[in-house]
Amino acid sequence: MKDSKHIKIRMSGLAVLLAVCFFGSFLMGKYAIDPVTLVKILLSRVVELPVDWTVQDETVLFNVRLPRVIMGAVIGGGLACAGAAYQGIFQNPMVSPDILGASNGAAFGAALGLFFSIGYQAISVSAFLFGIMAVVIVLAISRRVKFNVTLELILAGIMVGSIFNAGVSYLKLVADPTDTLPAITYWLMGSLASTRTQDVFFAGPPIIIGILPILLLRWRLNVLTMGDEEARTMGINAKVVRTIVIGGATLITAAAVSVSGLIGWVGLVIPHFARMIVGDDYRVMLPASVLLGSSFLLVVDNFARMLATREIPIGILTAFIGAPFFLYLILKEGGRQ
Amino acid sequence: MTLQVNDLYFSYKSNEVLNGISFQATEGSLLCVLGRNGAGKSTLFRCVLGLLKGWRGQILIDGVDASELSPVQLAGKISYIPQNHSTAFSYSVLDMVLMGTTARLNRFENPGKQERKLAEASLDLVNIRHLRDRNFQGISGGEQQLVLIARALAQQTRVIIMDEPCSNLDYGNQIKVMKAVKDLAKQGYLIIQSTHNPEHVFLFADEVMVILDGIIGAMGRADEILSEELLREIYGIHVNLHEIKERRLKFCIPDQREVSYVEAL
Amino acid sequence: MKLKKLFAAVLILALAFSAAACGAAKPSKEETAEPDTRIFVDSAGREVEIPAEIDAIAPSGPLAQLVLYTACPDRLSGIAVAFSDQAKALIDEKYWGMTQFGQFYGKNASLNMEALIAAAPDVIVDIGEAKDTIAQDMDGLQQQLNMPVVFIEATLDTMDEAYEKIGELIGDTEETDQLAQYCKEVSEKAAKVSASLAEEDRLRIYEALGDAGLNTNARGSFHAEVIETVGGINAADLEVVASGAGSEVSMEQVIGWNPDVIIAESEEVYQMILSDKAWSVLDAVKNGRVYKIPTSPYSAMANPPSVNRIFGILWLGDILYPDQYGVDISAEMQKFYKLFYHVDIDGAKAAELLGE
Repeated sequence: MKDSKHIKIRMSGLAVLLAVCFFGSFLMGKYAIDPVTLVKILLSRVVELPVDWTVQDETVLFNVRLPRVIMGAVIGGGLACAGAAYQGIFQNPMVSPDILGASNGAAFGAALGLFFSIGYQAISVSAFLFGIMAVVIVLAISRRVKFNVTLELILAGIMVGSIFNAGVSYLKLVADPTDTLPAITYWLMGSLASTRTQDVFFAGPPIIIGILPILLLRWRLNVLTMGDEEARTMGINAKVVRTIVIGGATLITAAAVSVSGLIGWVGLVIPHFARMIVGDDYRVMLPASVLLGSSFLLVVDNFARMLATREIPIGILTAFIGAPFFLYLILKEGGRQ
Repeated sequence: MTLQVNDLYFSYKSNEVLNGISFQATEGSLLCVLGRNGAGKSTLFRCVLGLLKGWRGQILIDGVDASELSPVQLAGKISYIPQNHSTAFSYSVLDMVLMGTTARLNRFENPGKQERKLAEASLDLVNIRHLRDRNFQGISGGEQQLVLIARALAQQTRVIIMDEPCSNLDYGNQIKVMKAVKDLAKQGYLIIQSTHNPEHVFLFADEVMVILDGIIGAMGRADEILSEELLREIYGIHVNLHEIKERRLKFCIPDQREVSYVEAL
Repeated sequence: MKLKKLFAAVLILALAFSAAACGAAKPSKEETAEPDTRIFVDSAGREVEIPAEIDAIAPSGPLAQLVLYTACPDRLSGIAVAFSDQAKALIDEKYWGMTQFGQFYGKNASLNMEALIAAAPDVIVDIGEAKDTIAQDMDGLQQQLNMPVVFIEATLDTMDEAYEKIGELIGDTEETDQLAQYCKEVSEKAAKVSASLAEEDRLRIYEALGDAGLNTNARGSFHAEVIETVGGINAADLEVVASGAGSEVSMEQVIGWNPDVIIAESEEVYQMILSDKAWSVLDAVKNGRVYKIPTSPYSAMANPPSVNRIFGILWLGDILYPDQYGVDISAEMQKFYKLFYHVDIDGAKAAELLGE
């Protein structure tokens, strides 16, 4: 097994990677700003500096690029954290944060908002609330079940998710094909293109609030992978831990979807990546997932906004990258066992 | 340290599994529980461990009512060694044993230096220190069972419940595990273990408890209470008991009638 | 515990960073000489400060792109989406390669804001129907990009006002007045003819869309507006599903309606209707009243719901009530295409586009 010194080095490496990706992404964009000017503009926020840049430079930096890069990092880390946590509590490495229906619920909330043209902010709120509602319904259903709770959660999640999915399809059917339908479709593909500063303040706190308890409970996640009963004999109330984790993961997922649409595969694939680097122990794997997820989404988003002038929805790119990698993992795991 | 069970009743839906179990066990003893499949051994254990709700009766651990204890508190008094099973994730042997220390930790605390020392000491107790950094899934079945025992030891409870620990082990590993368990009993632990092997009972047990149809058919020292009739009542086949005088040891083999087809050849 | 500290440090750094940089950008302290500006009141009633000289306009989406192309193609600083192949067949090459910004859909999923800012247009224009949240959407984009964003309302009957507004925006009404005048005349003519028709003279039209011609826009739907405007009756008597997309219908329903005239969107469907056994029972087919909608560079009837439909009014009017409308459709097409699409076509080409 990897010894702890190696792991420490790798974790530091991941932290450095995130820093590089973060600042690197900040330097990139279709609007050219040279690095020196960029640094000057940043510093001007805290120190008085003579202004030799344009209003547009500042606008791009603070209104367009900074919110986007921050959101990308936060969402990437959050989704990876939620995915890793779910894989632990469901004792199944093939699980993603969408499994309990939060994403589908949020997608429905957003589609509903777009359909009724309720305005930018309200759409995000609608998506967030419906995302949470979906999981509340799932939890309510599973409460009536005594045995095999995790299986019931997953089944209920698939069912509730499907219903909301059908709702979205229906809305797409009756939506105006000129603007509403494309708006819904684009939204579903997942994109950070429209990130505004207010989005960062809307979605950032819930995601961070969602990540925190999961990080704090990471040792207990280890114990939970032994199964509910064994965990209980070691003093862990599996139901409580699971509920807290689900609560945190749902906050993350609903908030992420409410501002950026459906970005898939991050929550499923990144934890595996993290495991390959630092092992299964959640004490390191969870923070590693967060760091890796943030870096990953930042890099992919750079492609999304730099490849062409028209934005490529990031959900498409994560699927193009994530799905083949997932296939590779399945083959590799199958060969190993 | 005493475990006392008084008039324990439990039913699965309308199926009455435990029909008034009462017994007492004290520390420094290896108590083996015999019974046929479905007799209620696992159910009894799970009630005592707090994994089943809805039982009627009384379970007292050192005089304290178990139903009033939180999972953490209960985990400080009784630990559990399951039958070995595989998980989706792989941990090092040390990390597996560390899990046993969870009950001592605060709500969000991670295991620290003290817990690590505890875990290593537990590894020493069952002589598997050399396996410390190995992958749990990469060691043999017998070694895995020893790791699970070490995990229970790290939990530092005086009472340990083992559910058929030898089921998946080869003959040699079975003996090794039973020996380790017996050593622990000698050191003062109360170990309650279910088993399907009367041999082990004769070889190792301090006391044996027989469960028949949800009640305790008999309890006491193995060589005193385990008779051919009792064994036939438990398992539904005829057995013969023989004794090796030099070793003062009883063992049982199936009666000729049960295996007659072999001898007819 | 080093891990925890490391991670916490990264997190705090990022948070502090973003906290320090939050909020909308404040304008630079030292300003270069302020260019002249004026106040423009857009169709949503918003007073927007725009540069006095407007030379570069960015469209917010394909509708705006089309209208701006017709009004002031050389002031476009970019386009929203690539021109379709049908459009490229007629539109001048120099417009094909313009930077594509993507489109703004309330949550502008494909709008590349940096590219937009880099192109430095004088103003961003959204053209189309007024939604409830239009002011909010415009304000939001304007605040984020720190650029003027205006909305100009354009529906089928108000195209003339839209062009007048555009003329006001760019400060040059020569072209736009002509376009406004043309639209106005067409709308007035259609209204006059439509009002003068007796109920029993109104023809019933079925619009055949989709792969099999069995997708249509229901009566009363926004997308079949042209039919009603011209004075016809939409044969598809269905429940209008909100602002529905095409509704799927069955062959039986079409036979039941037995429309007087059928118009088909695609060449394949048009041919199919003429030759297919099932369709041959319809009066419209028997009487040779099946027509192909001109779709190059833009469909005359359906998408996009913009100024292209003005031509559609004339085209359909000429088919349904040629005497009342009294237009030489070939000549009108040449005139319309020259004025709006900036392309010269001769009689033969016009005939080809009209499917004769």
